[in-house]
Amino acid sequence: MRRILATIGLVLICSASAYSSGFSIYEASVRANGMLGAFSAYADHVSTIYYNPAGMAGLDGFRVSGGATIIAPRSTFRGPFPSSTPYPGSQGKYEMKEQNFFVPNFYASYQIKDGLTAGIGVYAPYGLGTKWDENWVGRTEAIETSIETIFVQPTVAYKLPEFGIGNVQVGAGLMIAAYGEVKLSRGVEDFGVQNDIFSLNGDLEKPAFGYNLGLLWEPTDMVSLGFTYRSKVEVEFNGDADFDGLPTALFPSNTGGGTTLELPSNWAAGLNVAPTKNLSLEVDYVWWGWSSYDELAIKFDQTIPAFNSNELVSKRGYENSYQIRVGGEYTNAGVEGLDIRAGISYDQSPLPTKYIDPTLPDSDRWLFSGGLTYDIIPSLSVDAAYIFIRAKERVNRSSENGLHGVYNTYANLPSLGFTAKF
Amino acid sequence: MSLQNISKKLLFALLVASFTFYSCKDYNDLDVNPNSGDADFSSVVAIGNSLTAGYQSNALFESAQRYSFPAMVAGQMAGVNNFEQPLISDPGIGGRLQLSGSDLSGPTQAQEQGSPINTDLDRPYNNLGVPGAILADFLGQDMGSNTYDNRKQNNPFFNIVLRGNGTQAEQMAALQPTFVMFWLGNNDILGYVTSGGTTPYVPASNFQSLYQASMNAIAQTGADAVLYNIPDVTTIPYVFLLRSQLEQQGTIRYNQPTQTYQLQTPQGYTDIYIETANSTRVMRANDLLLLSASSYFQSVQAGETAPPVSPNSPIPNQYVLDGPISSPPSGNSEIVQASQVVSAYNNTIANAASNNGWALVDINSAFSQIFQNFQQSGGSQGISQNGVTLTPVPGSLFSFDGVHPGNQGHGIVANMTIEAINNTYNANLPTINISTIPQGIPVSN
Repeated sequence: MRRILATIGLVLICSASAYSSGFSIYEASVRANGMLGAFSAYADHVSTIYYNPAGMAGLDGFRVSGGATIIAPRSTFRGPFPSSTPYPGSQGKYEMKEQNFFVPNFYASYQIKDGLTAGIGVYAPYGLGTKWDENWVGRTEAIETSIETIFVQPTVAYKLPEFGIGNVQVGAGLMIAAYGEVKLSRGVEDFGVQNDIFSLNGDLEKPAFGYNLGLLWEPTDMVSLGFTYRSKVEVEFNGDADFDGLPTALFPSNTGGGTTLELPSNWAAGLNVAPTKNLSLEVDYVWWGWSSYDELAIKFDQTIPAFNSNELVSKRGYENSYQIRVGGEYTNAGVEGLDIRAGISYDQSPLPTKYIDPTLPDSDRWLFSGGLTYDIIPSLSVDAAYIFIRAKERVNRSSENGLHGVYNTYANLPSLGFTAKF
Repeated sequence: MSLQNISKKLLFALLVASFTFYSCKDYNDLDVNPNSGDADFSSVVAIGNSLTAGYQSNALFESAQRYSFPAMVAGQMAGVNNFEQPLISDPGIGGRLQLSGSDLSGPTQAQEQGSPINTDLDRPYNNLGVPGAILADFLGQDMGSNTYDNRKQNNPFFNIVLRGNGTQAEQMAALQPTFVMFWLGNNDILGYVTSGGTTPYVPASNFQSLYQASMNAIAQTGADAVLYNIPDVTTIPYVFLLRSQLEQQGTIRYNQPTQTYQLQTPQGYTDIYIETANSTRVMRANDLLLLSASSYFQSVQAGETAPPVSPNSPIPNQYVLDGPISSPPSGNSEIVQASQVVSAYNNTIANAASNNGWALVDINSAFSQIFQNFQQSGGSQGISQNGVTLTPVPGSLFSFDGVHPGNQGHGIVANMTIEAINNTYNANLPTINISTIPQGIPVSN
């Protein structure tokens, strides 16, 4: 067991990360992907460790699931509009560099005794990766931006004794941000030098902690209600600031730099209805506390004369946001052992228009999914899902940074995994 | 209908929805709000000299050209997509004055040169500003013995900007311009000023006929235009700055009782002698020292040159722009001469603008106002926009050469242009937020 975890851990460390509303990634399980994460009351899969830890109390035996989602986001910027200063107006089209991100997940649970289950989850709840050409028009805003995180979450769940209102389960997990990396670079055009790219590379030096709590209530066999709360996690990245060919008197070489990100809290409330033995439908409302990400402050280990400060603060201005997720599952669909799923979701962007920039061309979005599971043998099944994301075209005429233009984004997210039960 | 069918239908509907969203047209046409008013910005051309080219700190280089005022103005025009300039890689051509990257000392002149970047553009550049160009170069006219061919041969920028394909006017016409920014005439007087009156200026009457011919050439294309007048020569740092710097350092002082400028010597402050076109005399309140004289003063301080404290070793004529003497009233002086010429030029330019119904950017008044603010505030003020205060000195409004504006100075000129265009043509070009323009202080790598 230990060996398996270590191996999986290694695979996870080698992976990159991705992209979603704000920079949360809620594609934490292939099975949940099929229902677009409308999963907090579903609770019948070991990945409930992420979606609602209380669900785990209902899982017997030893269960394992693992998988990965490929996130392939594509964005373009068109413009800048003539009102963009000091960028020259154009009707040019700039494509974000194509990157595909491998976002893994792994879950295991073990029923210690009837009603008490322990488990562990490994997943990547936050991440983002955007990369533009070094010489593109918005190079002073962003060239490369990447955030990666891997969380490990030991979890316990407990089924309360029967007291006449139906089945009630509770669960709690310790969220440990075990690995993280942040990278960002952009051009600094103030000094008329050829190599003018400022970049920061930072790692998570020590683990950061948070928790999640879950409640699952099944008043009848047909209906279950789920509620999950995930706390914020403050992660501190430290590393090196590189000022390329910028004048060393203003940008000292060998400068250390880092930043602290407050990964936001969120909660989800879900209602799952199973009108027949085969069919279940779920709707979730998810709230994200993105207003915590109000500014990005890069701290340096010495005063940078160019900034006249040891800090570089840029306003992010995120606002709290929500998602509506609707998903359905139909088991033994025509073929014994084949389950099919579908989902649709609306995701509100936490970024007000005036703060949108090419580090993350976020926008309100619609998501569509389909998924299936096939039991190869009763104890081992294959999970697959596909998500398509279409972000609304975002027209920005009043950006804080002066780069006004039109952002278009879509993404394809195929995923594949397995679930085993012993 | 069975639940199985419902769920199948649901899945199918979602698949169709995905497919529809996926295959729908990815982009709508960009809806760029037109802002041209009565003007037409579909083909914009800039004509001028080094100021128009975006020449800064004694060189023409890419990272400054990107912030040339014509490029910034064109950038605000909804119709303009590709405003092409003859870009030259940093540190440019001309010998850029730049700071040392390791300690910011300097500025010193770059030893390296850049090279032209987009030379294979198969049409004329939109920015046809040729550093060093005089008004007569627009139409390729000879000025007596000073022929156009001579001027072209002695100035590499003609070949870089025009690429041997005809005059500025011819290339402008080839672009079928709908709108022209035209700023020529500075060098017709600037040579006289920067040489301390030792090279001739273009007489105002010649200027007038050249200007009229130039305006006809623009009018023939059917384009509208914005014209720029010529700043007062005493408002550029190259002319006014050195004397006040030397005063601040205590190297020289103005002695009220004798009404003369004096040099600090081991024997105390002693009257300074200057050479003028007519005579050698003591330096008075209105005499200015050109920035080019700084090396002369270094050499005096190093003891390599005899100090200008005797009529036998005056400050040479080319370093001095002599001014009028009030008592006893002298005849003509270089400063008076230059300012009369400039105001005659500017009359011509103002008439041309009003006769053609074109916009006029009154650079002269604006720079005089900035200079006045600077003098009255003891050097702390100049012009403020968007929370940025620029003073008329190198490294602020001006680049290191003391003649050409820096990036943000170009932003000021661009905003004046936008205002003039909006007023004349009922256009609605947005002004530029000066604080978003990088200062662009050149630094060696």
